[in-house]
Amino acid sequence: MMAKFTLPKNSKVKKGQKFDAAEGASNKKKFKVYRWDPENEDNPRLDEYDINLDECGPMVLDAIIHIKDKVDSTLTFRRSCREGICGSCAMNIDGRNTLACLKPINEVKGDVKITPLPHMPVVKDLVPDLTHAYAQYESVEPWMKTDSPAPTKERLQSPEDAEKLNGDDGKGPAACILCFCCSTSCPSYWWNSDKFLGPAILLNAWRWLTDTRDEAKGERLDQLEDPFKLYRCHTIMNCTNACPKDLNPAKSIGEIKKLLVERHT
Amino acid sequence: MSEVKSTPERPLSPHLQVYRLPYNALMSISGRGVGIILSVVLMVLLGGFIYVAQNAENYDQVMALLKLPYVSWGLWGLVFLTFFYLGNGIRHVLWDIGIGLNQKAGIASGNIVLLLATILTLVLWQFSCGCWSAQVRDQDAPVQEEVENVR
Repeated sequence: MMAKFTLPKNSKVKKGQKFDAAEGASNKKKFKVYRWDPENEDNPRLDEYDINLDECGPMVLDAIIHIKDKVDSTLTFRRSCREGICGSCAMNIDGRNTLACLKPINEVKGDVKITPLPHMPVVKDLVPDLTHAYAQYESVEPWMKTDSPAPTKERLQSPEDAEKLNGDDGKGPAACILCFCCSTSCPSYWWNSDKFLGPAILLNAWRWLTDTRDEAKGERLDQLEDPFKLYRCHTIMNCTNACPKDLNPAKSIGEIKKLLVERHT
Repeated sequence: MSEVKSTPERPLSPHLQVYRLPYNALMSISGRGVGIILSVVLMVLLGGFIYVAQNAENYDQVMALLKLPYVSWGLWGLVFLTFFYLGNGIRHVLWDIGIGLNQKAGIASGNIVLLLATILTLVLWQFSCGCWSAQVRDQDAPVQEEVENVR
């Protein structure tokens, strides 16, 4: 099926309301935030909030929490840890996917435009529906699979083997927080998310393939060897560019492709 | 009984409309575009060869067309695109065998492809018609005369 480059009729973003919460302030910034309310039939809109930066913290998450607390309590978004480890506040800020809690406001020149993770069904405002992405995660069986009898203690790994998961810099595939910044930055995932697993899931598939304790390598590779699940990746590298944890999903996907080639030779 | 309102169909969040495509994505999309352009050009080129081979009149026609400035500059543009496409292809093969598959190396290899395509186009230009050296010689002509006078 051909990719659809435009938004469906019900998804076109209209002009929204304006809130000035920074009257007389010298240090202010405009935030343009995507809004959609499932309670009515209206199209999504872009609301504008003028914020006094002296009244809120340094990160984009601080600003939207400030908006919800002081300006417009109807604004809806996900957030939890506020320190880049839960992956809840993933959104598109200034045209790139990242975690709002890790994105300093002063890195954005001009107005701060915030939209939900791209090409996803919207539940409300900045909250995307991740049901399909989680189902895809489940499909790669992200748990240890073994045939050998369990040892009396835990299954041991050498530091070298553990490094395959964690990386020598802590940026191996096991450091993924499943925020889906990468998958939703990937044009291949935009056009084929029904069948292509996307970078986040493939990075996690690699995390289990490269785990020396796992004994289901062949079975896992059988599952991935598919023109759509894996090979829709064309190395556009948006995933690696987007990852707020500095991981390299493109590399993980490359490693899976290499394993499959090795298996055939 | 309370009335349950059905939720309207969920909108799709903006994608191409908002995404600022990074360098490597722009290289990727230009690679695709250039591939399409070159395959169309290849067909036109083959058609041209067949047309030229018909008779001398056709040959003269096409040669006259090729000498028009816009056409010849366009052809050199296509030479550049061919080298770009070749280089980009090699870059993708290297990625496929796991070389340079990270953010920094991706930008560096992209720049190398653009630079090499430019250099190779200039080199081919020099060797095929000597246009570049001819122009340089024109500018240098008085100097050369002086040198000969001194001799």
